[in-house]
Amino acid sequence: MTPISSAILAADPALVAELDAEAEVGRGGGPLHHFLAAKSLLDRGVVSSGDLAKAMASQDAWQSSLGEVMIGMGLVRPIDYYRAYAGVRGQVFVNLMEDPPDPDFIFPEDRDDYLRLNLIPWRFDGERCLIAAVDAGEAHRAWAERRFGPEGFDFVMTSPFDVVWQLQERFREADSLASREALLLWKPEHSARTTITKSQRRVFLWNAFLYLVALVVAPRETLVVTMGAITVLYTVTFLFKFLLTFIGASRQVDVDIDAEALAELDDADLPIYTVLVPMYREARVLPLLIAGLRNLDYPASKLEIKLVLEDEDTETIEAAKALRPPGTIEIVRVPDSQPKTKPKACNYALLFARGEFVTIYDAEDQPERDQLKKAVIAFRRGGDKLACVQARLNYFNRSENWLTRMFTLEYSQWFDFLLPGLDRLKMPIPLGGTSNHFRLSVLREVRAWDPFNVTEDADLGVRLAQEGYAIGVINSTTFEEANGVLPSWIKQRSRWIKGYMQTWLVHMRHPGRLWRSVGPRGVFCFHFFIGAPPLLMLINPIVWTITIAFYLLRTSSFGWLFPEPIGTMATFNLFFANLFLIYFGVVAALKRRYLDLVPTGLLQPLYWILHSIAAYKALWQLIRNPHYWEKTEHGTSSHTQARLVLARGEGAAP
Amino acid sequence: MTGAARLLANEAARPSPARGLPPAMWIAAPLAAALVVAIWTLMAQGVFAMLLAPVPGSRVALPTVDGAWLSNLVVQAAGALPWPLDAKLTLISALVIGFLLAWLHVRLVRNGWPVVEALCLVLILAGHAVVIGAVIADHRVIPVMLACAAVVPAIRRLESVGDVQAEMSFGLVLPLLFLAGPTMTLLVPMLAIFGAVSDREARSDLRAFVAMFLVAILPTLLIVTGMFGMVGGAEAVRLFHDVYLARFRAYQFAPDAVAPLLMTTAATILPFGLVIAAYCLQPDRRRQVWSAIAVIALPGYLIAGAFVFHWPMLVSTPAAVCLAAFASWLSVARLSPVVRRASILLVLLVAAVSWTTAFQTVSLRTIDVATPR
Repeated sequence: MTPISSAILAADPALVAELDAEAEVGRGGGPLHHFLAAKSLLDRGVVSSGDLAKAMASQDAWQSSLGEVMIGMGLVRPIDYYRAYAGVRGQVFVNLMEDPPDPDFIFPEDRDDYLRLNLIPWRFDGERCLIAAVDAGEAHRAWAERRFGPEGFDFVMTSPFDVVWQLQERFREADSLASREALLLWKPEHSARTTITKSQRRVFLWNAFLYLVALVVAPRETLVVTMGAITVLYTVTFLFKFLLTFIGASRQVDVDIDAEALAELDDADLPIYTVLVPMYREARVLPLLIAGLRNLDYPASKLEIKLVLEDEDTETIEAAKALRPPGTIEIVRVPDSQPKTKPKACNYALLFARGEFVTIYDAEDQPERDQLKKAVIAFRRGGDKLACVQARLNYFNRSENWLTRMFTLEYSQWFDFLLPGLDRLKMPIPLGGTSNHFRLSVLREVRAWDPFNVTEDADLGVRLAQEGYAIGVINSTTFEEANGVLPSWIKQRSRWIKGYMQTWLVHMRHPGRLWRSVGPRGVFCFHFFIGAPPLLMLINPIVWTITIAFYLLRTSSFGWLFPEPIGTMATFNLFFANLFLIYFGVVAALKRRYLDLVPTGLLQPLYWILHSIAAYKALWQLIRNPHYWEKTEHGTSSHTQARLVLARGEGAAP
Repeated sequence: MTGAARLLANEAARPSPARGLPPAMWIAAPLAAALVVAIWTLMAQGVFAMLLAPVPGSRVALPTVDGAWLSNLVVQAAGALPWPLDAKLTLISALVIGFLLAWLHVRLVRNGWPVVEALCLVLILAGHAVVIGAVIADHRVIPVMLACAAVVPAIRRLESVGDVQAEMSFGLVLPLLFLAGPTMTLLVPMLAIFGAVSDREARSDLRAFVAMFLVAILPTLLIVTGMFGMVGGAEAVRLFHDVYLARFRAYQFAPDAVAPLLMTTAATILPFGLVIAAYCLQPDRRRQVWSAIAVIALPGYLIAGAFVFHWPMLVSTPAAVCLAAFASWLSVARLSPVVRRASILLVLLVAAVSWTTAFQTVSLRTIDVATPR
């Protein structure tokens, strides 16, 4: 317990007076005020003495105000706490929901200050502006003096959620526009709003025309060159994957942040961490989400969790309210506008974020308890240029069916081998869908996610690299629900592939700029990690058909397509590269000791066929409906259902 | 600690690995060039007359498909060069050996060996009659030496690190044995079982054993599939039957080949065996026994195989394998300075013995005088 708390509890009048005087210096609330507010809640029976003692012990460790701790721990509703706090301080408390501010005194240019200082001009009382604020410390007063003159203001108290709610209401249109257009206005060439630019279309049409001419003039030679290019592409992609898998297989990439480093971390030094949870029509997994977030090993008073919900999704909004989550969890309603995508929703929520770091989780995610702390350590070690760290993703329902097994193997390979391999080679890392942790300032600087890109995460990884920032990988895992329903899997996968195609097209608008910004290594990675896979998925069925025809018809009529050394390379790809790609899938199971998946890994060629089906769907959608976001349905797994029952039983539900 | 224990202690303070060494090629190129020039000069003066004379069939053109995939690949590649086949193979062998010795030097230095000691060891190895013989005549032993030399560090890594990379490395090295020649093929499943058993969970759980066994053997199976797929159809069946199965039919070993085989092998294995035995018996928690035992077990496999099956190879082949495996082991094992120097002296001794008339007389005989049982 802190000396302050001890002194107060021991009712040391001298020290209490001293603390009171200290608190009044800036006329902001001091520990004494918070304690007295807590005590009044105790007297009114809102909190129990046991809970208060727990909160005071946590306050000592976390070094947050007692109010933040109590709200974070879910012991008291924010409105109740701040009402009591205002009473202790002898100030008026206003409930901005019931008594909203006068819109004439709210100015767009001050929006960021309102959010940063947790205040909002409420009304004019004669000559003075009454400012509704959560506190009235020196910073608040300095701002008010600048804005309204030394005697032109006074404070009334409110809760932080009232302030955020009012900001959402007052700046709804402007914020919605910013969430859609910020990147487009800043760097239009990085926005996927236009899938293919005029100059790209011109280049593409010219190339297609020249290719057709070549096919007519010299068909044999043209086809040989085509097969040669495809063969080289396969070979290089395979070798790159081999290198990444081998590097990623090392134990060294898995122990970046160990238990010792975690133990050395002082909760008191931890910053505010914003967690965004975008959801859409997922009311049923809410209990799981709340349980998962409660499980995070991070001071509750320093967590700022935002459930990012579409305005029209009343079902989820009502369900979230009904759960009466802890005060650190707030609902951000995203105004209805097009494109209706996850990145746009996240961009919108980001406008209300106050943390030093920010991360994203999906509703059904189960991050490892220490993930946020590991991210903080990684950021502190990585320096200012480390803009993002990606946690590993894996699945909790791997044994549900063949598809979930293959999906788990694929994710294991991606997040346990390939991304750590890229990290080791200092190459740009295409981020995964969730559990990527950012420095908020950098994320805002690069205008966050592209709302028009359906794999906004992968795109953001490339853009961060282009702006000179680094991305790291941390040894912490978030477990998700693998999509085990084939039509849903195809939908999800086609969106991912479409997003990779979009990303490649966006960053190939200015290849020279890309080269200058990420260097040859980055360009190589960009082409062979983001560009080549969708292309190969499209080409695969053609090559498979030629191969099958070659063997079934026992004909050598295709032999002329593969002169040496292309023939040897093609044979190498067919017999070795393909087989070794299967091997990589098999070893992917080893790191997590998913030994039951090892035999399943041998069936990967069947999984590749599904990829090709999804790739053709993605290509069709890229042409017809590039910004359409095919929502993945969560909560279908029997594991999730079982966990839901468990979560409800543990009281996550009301 | 006793004097002997101190002599053999392998917990000697390990100097930090030397970084920023010149790439292996900077050492390999002059070493290989020196090796070629020296061998050429000596050949011109008739020094190797005895070495060359008793190698029947060593200059015969290699068959296209006989299971010696790596050798055949080199022969195919050499086909593009204009010179006579013998000259080309000698040149390529010298380059390969030169590169491997240079690589060994780099590895030794990284493992804490002083540059001079590492250089001494490499030069002595380069002067060993079996190595010279591999360069100028018995080219086909080089892939076997290479494969066995690669297996030892892979086993060591499996023992000491045991991560997925170690398991992958081990699995990826095993195909080299298959590619080196049909006689080495049986080693692959044996080592794959060893690889699986090295996993703690696999020792008690059959499912885990199967998984780990698959991980170890799969690369070889993939290579085998690829190779047989490339050969294709009836030729693949013939290859399997006439080459691989034929190697493992029981034969009666010719009694007059026993003594030379044992003598040449013993001349190599025994001195190295002293170091290995001492290393294995010395209590030390960082000691890795299995990779050390592999130095003896690999040539032992060849000797045992030669007794049971019809393996047409030179009498000196087990000695060559032992030499490669021991050198490779030296580059990864943690040894005290005294043991390092003792090892150099023993290699020097073995190299000196290799140039004795007795060794020369028997070592280049082939063990192909067996009869079917």
